[in-house]
Amino acid sequence: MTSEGMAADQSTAQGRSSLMALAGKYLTFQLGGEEYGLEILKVREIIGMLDVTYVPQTAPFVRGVINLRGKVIPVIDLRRKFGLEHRDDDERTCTIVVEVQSGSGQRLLTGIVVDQVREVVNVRGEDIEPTPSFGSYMDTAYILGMAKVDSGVKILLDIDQVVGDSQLVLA
Amino acid sequence: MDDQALILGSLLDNLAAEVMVLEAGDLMTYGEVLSRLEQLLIVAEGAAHPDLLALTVGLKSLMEGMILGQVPDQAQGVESLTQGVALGQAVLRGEAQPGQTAQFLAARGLAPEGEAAAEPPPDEVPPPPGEAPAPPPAAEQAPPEAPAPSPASETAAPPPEAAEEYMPEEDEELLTGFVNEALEHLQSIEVNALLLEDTPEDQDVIGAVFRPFHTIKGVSGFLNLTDINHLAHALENMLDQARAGNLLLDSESIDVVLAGVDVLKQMILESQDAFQAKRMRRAFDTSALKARIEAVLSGGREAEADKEPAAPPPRLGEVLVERGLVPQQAVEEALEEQRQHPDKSLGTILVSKGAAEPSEVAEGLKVQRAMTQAATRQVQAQEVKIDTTKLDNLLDMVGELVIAQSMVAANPKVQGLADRKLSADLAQLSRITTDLQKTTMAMRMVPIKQTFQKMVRVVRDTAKKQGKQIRLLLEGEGTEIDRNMVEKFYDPLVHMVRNSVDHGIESTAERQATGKPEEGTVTLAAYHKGGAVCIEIRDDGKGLNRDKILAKALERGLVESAEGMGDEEVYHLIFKPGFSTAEVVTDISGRGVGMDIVQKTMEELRGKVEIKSLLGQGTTFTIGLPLTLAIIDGMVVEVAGERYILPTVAVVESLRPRREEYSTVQGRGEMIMIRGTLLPLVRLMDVVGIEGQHREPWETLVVVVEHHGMRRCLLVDKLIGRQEVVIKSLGESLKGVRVVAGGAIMGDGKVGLILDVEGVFKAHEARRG
Repeated sequence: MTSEGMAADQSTAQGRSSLMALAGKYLTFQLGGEEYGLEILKVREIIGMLDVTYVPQTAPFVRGVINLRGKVIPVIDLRRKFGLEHRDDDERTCTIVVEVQSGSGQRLLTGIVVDQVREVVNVRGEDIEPTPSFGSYMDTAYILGMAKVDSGVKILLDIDQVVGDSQLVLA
Repeated sequence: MDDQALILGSLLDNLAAEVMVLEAGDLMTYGEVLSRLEQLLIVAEGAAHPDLLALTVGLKSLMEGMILGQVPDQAQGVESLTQGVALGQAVLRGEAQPGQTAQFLAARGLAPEGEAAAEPPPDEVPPPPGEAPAPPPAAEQAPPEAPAPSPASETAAPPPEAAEEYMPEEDEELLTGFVNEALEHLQSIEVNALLLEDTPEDQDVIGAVFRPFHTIKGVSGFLNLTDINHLAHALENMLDQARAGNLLLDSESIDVVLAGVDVLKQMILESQDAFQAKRMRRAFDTSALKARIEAVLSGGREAEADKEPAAPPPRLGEVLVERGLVPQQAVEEALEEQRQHPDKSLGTILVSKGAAEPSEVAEGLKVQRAMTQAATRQVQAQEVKIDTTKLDNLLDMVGELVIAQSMVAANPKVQGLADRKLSADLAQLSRITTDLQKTTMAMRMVPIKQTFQKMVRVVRDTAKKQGKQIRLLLEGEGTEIDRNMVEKFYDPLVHMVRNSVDHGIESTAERQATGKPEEGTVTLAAYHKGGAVCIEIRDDGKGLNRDKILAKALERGLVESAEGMGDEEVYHLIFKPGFSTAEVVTDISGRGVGMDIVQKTMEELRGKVEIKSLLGQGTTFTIGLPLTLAIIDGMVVEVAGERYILPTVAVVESLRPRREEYSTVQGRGEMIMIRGTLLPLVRLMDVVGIEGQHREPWETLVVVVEHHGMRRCLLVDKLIGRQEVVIKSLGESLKGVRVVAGGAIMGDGKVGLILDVEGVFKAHEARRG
């Protein structure tokens, strides 16, 4: 009994310190009614919507590829990725270009389409809560934690999981 | 320790680090070292260190001398510098013996009054009489009697002691730098060592082999790679003996040098692998090689007696006539006289007959010397190393510039301005951007020379093993080829060259029997032809035997019957996997692997091979490659409003079929009859999975494409036209898309997809199956 309690204490302590390590600056954006945060160091730039070329044999959430100043990069529709309902692009819709490391250590540039970019917030370690468990009906693997800031709760995204690990190509 | 001593110490330390990697002839670093020495001088003047001051002054004058080219032996100069800096460090620590500095400076001629030169300068122009290697041009390899002057240089200096003191942590960057550099050095050693085989006494060439070994030795010592250091040192030592004229480099000792290069290459690659895998380095047994080096060294002095004749390519007589210094007739007369008095040199005869002034002969000799040296110098081309990603970025940006420029020019408002000045300026801008794009593209190109020179070794080794005498001629080495292509092209070229040596050229006995010259010739030629790079591998051997090839192919089941096969078609069978006509399987070639690599690589590089052969006279393989891998010649088609690019090489024709030419199989498989052949119809729209209006083939167009002999009709809405596009990767995350080979930025800045014909065929089959 006591040993179990101690183990539980230890794991929460560990969880706490990994949450503390998440402290830092986040770029927040809106998707439906929710606000998400992206580690600012992973953000390369924010661009308006460019002409997208559809690529065959890709997952439904892949919009296609764009020409980012001479480089061809894939663009992901985050709404579709998260299973939110479709919404037509408007003048606030934009693409955030993120840079993540691929499994083989290469730098991958990927565009993610979001409803609207909000602000850059500084999140303190003590304001970060672990992701609550929603049971089996929702996959929380893409979420690092929840940040409570003045303007509300932001969902901190694990962008490496979202773009790096996801299977963009249909088998 | 006071402040000044501290500053002096750190200056010396920096200097030591710089000198450690200093390479003879590297003027950039020379300059840095000189400015360092000047800083040191200023500080040393303020400090009470007379020894150090004298040493610095001495080293500075040595450095200046080296920069101005007054020091004949640059490598020796670098050695002296290294030792001098180590001595300076000792002086500063108070560890130097009294008088050691003065001794050091005096020994190198760097004492305050002394000149910068550490050695007596070598004869700049050999005295005309008795020195002229001038056999008659017609005579077969008449030995010139002129041994190169052997400058009495000091014997090998001990390895720099400072190397032992300077061992920073082995970090990746240093090691990678070393590996890259060392491999390049080894490459240049290889090239020059082979050159040395022809001109074993050419000091410049010996130097060009010696110096890289010296550098490898220095840096490997610095990185604590002792085994590499020791081997490089041993080889360096051997060459130093040759440099000093104590050893003549014969074919045997060049074999040793080449073997050393091979071992060093392995050791260096191993050190990199080991570092990356974070494991211990594998030990190499170099004792056999070292014993060979020792053997060469001990036999060296005796070898001097029977020097092999050097064969400098340009003859004095030719040079003099060409320069207009002496009339052709006078040279011919002099040559005639020389034949009767072989002990006299051409120069002497010419001068004695009054046909030429001694000064003219001297000038001729100078030119002759320069021409011989030119061969070595060419190896060191002027170049800058650039990270290829930077180059690709530049290419991307320039591509965008071209698009942006054309968008501005096409803007209706700009066009409506109707201003002459503006349109002239826009035209100028367009010219500049196009030129810029061409230049950037050209930066990806490298001369094929290096690849060709690697073949010299391949031919030499293969021919030696086979006991054949083979001469390799290189033509058009300056021809430029895409850098990425060079790497992929290397293996097939090796196979083809080996094949020519192994199977193409007959054995010496066979050649004698057929009245051919004993020495076989393999020619490698490169040239541009109609937007492609052609590489020819030509041999004057026995040629391909059509009947033999066919018999073999039938036996192996590669073809069913020989009927209707053209010669070239038959010859191409040798590229089929599992084909081999060699009666004896050698360890070089003849196992039937290898030549099919050629075929595979050609497909990958979008190139093709042509074979021409005359029985008994030789075979010519001509490889045609696109100028660059970065650009593809494409046919732009439109399907459901989207543009796709088909590689033009795959496109056979495009046409609008008639209704009666269309048929279906079991209601599903659609076929089109084209000139009597039924070809499956691929609806591109379905394959790429886009929504669009359903059309019938007779209402629109089909493009017939071919891949691996399979033909399909692709149904498209529109043909937009032919266009050259720059291929861009879609990135790693979309690598798995088989239907698409890559992307291309179209004229409007949007991405167009380049279709992979094989992928399209497969996707089509998958849909049907």
